[in-house]
Amino acid sequence: MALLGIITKEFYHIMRDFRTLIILFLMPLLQMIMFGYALNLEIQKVEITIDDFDHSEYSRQLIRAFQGSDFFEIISDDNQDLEVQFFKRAIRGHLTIPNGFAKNMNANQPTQVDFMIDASNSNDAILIEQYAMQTLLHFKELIGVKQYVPVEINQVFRFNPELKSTYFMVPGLLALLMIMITTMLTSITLVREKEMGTMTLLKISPLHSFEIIIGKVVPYLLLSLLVGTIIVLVGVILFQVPVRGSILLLYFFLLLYCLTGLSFGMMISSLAKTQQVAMLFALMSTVLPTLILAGFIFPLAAMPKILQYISYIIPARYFLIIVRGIMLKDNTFIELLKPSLALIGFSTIFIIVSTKKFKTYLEQ
Amino acid sequence: MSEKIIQLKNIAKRYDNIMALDHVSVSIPHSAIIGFIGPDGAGKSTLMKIILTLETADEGEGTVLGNSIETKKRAIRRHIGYMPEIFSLYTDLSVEENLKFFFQIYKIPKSQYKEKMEMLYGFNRLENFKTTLAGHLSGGMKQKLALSCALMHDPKILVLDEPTTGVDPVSRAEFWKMLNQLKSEGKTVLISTPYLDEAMQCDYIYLFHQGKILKQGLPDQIISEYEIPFYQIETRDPIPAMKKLQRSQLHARFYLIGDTIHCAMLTKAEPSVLEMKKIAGNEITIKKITPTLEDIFLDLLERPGEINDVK
Repeated sequence: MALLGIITKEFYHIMRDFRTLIILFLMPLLQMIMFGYALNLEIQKVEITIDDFDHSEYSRQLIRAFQGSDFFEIISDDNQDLEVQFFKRAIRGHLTIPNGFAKNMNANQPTQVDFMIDASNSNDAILIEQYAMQTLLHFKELIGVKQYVPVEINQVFRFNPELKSTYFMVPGLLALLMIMITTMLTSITLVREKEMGTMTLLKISPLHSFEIIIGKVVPYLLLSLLVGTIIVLVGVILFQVPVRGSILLLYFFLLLYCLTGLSFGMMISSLAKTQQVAMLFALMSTVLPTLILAGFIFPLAAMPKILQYISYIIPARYFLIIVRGIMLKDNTFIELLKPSLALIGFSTIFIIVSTKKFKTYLEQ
Repeated sequence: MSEKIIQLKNIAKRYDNIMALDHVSVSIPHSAIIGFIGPDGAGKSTLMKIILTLETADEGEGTVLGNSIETKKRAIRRHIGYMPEIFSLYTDLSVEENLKFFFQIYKIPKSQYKEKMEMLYGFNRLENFKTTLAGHLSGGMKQKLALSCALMHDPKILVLDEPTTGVDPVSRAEFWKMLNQLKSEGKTVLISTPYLDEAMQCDYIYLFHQGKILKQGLPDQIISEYEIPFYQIETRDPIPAMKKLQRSQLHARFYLIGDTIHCAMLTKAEPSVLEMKKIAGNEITIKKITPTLEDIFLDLLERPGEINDVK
């Protein structure tokens, strides 16, 4: 009854506070679209120019191979200065086919073409190089030349054969947005009661601390799950990311993960005095660590040891393994036992610590 | 006014280096309106919070309804209704939603809901504003709503921290009518106010200053028993006259109330009318007056040495 009262009241707050509603639904959508499209790690239509000094059948075949790739866009150079083109960012690569290219190939001699790449963005440069190599391979297949190669690697990409970046973006965004929203919402809602003075009235009422906590957590938990559903749906519909594993399992972990964020938010709210401080702290303590230290964008294995150790206390790290496991690999609970235990243990400790802290605040 | 329902002895409370309460004792009877009077920062709110068990005293001890303020917090809170100084209801909830929320969190049986609402609406006359958001109510209505929420669980003691500050005079009068009704129903009302005219409507008052109680008693009694004589001086041009009097060597304090000069003697001696006329001009009229609480309060502030003679 009293619990129902708090839950109802909390829903009134949410429905009547336009700002919170926007935070809840618009922000994840915008971020999904931003990260999904704008932060696309695949690049397309790299402008290149080609100088063909050979004018042979082979050189034309090579140019056709580049033309046929989605990755490159050959632009006519109009005899403009190469340096100027690079400086103007009109092109990002330049292919030179030397005189004697076809002659060498016919004589089965090692032969070279020059490929110049704008490496001012080194990530892009590496990608461009790899695609150029692939195009060259394709060209060789096309003309049926088998150069002697001692070992050939036949790559197979499991779970994401096309190496789509949205496949790892969507689980990552789910991890990032869920922890951010849950932490921010609880910390703000409790601090707001403090700021408005209503917390005092709750304190002198016969409410138990657990009633306040559950009454506050339940509405935001439901909302967070709704937002989580939206993120997954956008991922599936807009970005064609598969959910290969059990939906039920996915929701179980989503619930657990939300609880972690909500209890963390509660801890912040027992420390922060104003909504601004709470919001700032919630953002700082969730967004950056999740973005950097959870293996979302930057691989953990490539980090200094100390940062790798720090990453162990970031819940998103475990959630990411779980979500990728369920969505892309159809993992079962047993296969996810290790990260699950970490996340469960983590949430439990968090909930205990934060409720205790909140209880002392209430009953002092 | 026999048995005391709140008894506090030697309560001291310190915030950082400021003595918010400096060894204060009160004993409060039931069915009365008790006024905590004094300027901001005098310690009224702090003492109220100690009674509410929202703050813990550094020193001293006390009971509320027989329960120790240190060990029986929950038992005390069950019988106290509180209206904080700032409006502390949910402004984005309607009048009815606020009332319903407090009904629910006070865990009152659902069967009493209708009866309770009828009673409260009859009391606060806000029935026509049921669906208005609390944030859209006028100052006076907000206070009535807050009072109604504080009354939800039918508490024996009501603690109201400056409920009429910033409220228009008509609403203030109505609010006091409500308080008198509550008193007649047997409730004890603790009210703090910076307005000395409201102090006169209390049954018993404590005058607070800098964490100490300067004086306590029935308002009329405080006035009638005050031994210092007060005079009122009327003149056409009061400010220069007052300045002249203040510069003189007379054993009295002169200050302006409205456009008349009030004069409080520093001793019980009668003033020399002749001498005053010599200083301020012959056209002034001087007459002895009964001091108001304001006069007494101002006078008490000027006599730090005598504060200790509190009963």
